[in-house]
Amino acid sequence: MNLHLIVEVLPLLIEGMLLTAQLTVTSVAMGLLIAVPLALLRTSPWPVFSHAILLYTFVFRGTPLLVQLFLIYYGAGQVEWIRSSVAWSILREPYWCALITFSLNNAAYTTEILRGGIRAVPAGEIEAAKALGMSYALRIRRIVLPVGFRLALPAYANEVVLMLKASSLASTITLMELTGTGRKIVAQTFSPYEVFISAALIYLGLTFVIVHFFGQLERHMAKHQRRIDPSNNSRSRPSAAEKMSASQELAS
Amino acid sequence: MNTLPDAGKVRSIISDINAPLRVKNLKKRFGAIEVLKGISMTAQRGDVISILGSSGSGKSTFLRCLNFLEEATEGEIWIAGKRVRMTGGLVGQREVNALRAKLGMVFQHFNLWSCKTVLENIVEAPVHVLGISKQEARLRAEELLLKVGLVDKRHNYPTHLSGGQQQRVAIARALAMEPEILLFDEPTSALDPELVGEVLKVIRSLADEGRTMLIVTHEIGFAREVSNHIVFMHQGQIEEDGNPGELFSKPSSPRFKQFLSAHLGDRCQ
Amino acid sequence: MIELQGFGDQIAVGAFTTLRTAFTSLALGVCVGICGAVAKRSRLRIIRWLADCYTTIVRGVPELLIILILYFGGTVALTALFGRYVEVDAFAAGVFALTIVFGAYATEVFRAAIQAVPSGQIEAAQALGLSRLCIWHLVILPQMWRYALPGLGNLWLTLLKDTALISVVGLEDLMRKTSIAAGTTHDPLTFYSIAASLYLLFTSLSLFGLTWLERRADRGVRFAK
Repeated sequence: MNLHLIVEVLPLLIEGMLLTAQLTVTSVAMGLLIAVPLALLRTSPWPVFSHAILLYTFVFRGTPLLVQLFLIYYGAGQVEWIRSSVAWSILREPYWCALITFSLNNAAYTTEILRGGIRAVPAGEIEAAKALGMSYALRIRRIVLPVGFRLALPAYANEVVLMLKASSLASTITLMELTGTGRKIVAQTFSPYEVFISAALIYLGLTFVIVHFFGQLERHMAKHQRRIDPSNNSRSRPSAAEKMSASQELAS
Repeated sequence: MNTLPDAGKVRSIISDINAPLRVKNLKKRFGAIEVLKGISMTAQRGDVISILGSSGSGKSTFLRCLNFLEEATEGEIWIAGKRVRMTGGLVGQREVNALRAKLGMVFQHFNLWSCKTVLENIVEAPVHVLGISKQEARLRAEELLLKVGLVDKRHNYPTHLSGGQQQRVAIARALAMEPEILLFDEPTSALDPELVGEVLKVIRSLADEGRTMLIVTHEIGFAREVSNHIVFMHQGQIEEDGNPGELFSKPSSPRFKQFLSAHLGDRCQ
Repeated sequence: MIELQGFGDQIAVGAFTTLRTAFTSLALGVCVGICGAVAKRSRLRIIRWLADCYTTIVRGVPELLIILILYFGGTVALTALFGRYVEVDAFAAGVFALTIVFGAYATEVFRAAIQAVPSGQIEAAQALGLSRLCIWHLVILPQMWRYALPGLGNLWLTLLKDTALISVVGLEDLMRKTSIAAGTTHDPLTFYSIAASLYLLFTSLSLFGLTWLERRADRGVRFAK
């Protein structure tokens, strides 16, 4: 192990890490943005939508991300109408190609994860919303999505970690993110252990950040399940209503 | 001029039109099985109607049809003078939602929203369906919680409450919409025996307030005491109905007799 | 028929390599996974700790990076060992890397599957005086498969797609053959589409196979319910 080399290349790797983080965060955000409406349509009672979306998720989940990436990066330039349109200025850039592919890929997985969460929402809770006169849109917004997302959260956290790892494929289309930077340095220094293991440790660190973030989020969202001490059931701040309750209680 | 109906009849027609709930010949089919074979019923303001019947008699389905949770196959429903005709086709969703807001439903399994606090559960629909301001809705919710005796639990989540407490919250949630009628679908069937009393106590107090209610229940003793009208359903039809005094003292239908002797043995106070 | 410009044979060879890589890694990875799951239930804390480290590290580092580490790292190590430049075989490095990755995820699948075996059955076996090895062999392993199958199925689909990554270090698999064909003919759209269709075919067939297997594995159970 050459510690000196590690110290020397660390700034470069950190620079790569920034691109990795950027790619991951953007793809995950775009993926979620696409996945939410798709998951809703996928669980909707209209088979036309659910079948079309199933086809999309099936294709993106059934083929390697590398093939998808190459298809968009190398293949798009072959299509005449893309080449001559404004889209070409975007699809020419490896950065945008990676971002588009990752977002679409992530959206496909997220759609299915959210679908699972939405389907797991207790039917009784939806029925209660219906019985109170809540419209379809209102039910989705206030009951189905919040509950469904909470149920899907553990699986979604995994998906975000997978996206972080998948972003390493951007290095195959010349992007200098963490893995790409590592490969470049190894090609110059021929010291794979130091460089790649440093990169691996950075990835591990990023994974821990993601896992920790979602762990906190889950804990925050699961507060309704936490047992609380029955002796201090919000007794600390008695309100006017509470003071009256003793005399007017109908049921005890 | 002499074709005019007499005054009493006119009054009864008008009161029928203004009745909170009127059902005419309601039918419901699941595939080949006819679960409801033409139910007709009118609930006047202040009526407390208990619907009895063994399981599979269609009583829960009837209640769910009134709230459009099941779509009736045939028949007419008037809610607060507004008519909905079931012809097998879809009733407009917007219309359905408006009508549902006038019917308060209390479910067997409470169906509280597990991710919302007690207060949020009650405030949700008044704010988002009726468009009441959050502050006002909160005030009203606290009043209702006072009524059901759960003000100190308003910031708890449903999982922290006992079944009886959850059901009382569910009643408060239904009341918050200021419904014309309250529908109770076996409100105590999912409760431990020692928790039944607290829920029945709340329902009784609502009856005393003069609210219009339809109660599907197995608590025969309670039904007899609280309601002014009893309906006994059997195989999708109303087998017998009338006021509790007459019905229980001299039941005419052998099935109702059988039902009573089977149920009065165990669960009556 | 789509014009493959003479690359049809090459792509078929590549597809075969892809399947060979995947199946080899699967077989080895299942072994690693079972060992890992057993290690996680070990009485020795150090072994449990090592198993935890293994799964945590592998699941937090990109597969591509693991492949690169093993390929380039292996080359450097072998070169140092033999005193002359020796390049690691891409197939060996690839299978090794995928085995390690698959094994880490499979460890978790098997761990959960072992936990799903009703503890009463294990206690019953202990009460009968069976040895630990016997209990593993006769009670836990045969039943564990049924619980592990859905998870393993997902891992297999991931593995199948991950084989494409080995093309980066030069394995002549479906992906690499396609890249060569795409580069030579200047027709990446066609060739990558073909590759995508073939991968999709493999995953679809796998899905059918897995559904069939799961149904078979559940046969005795449904009666019991």
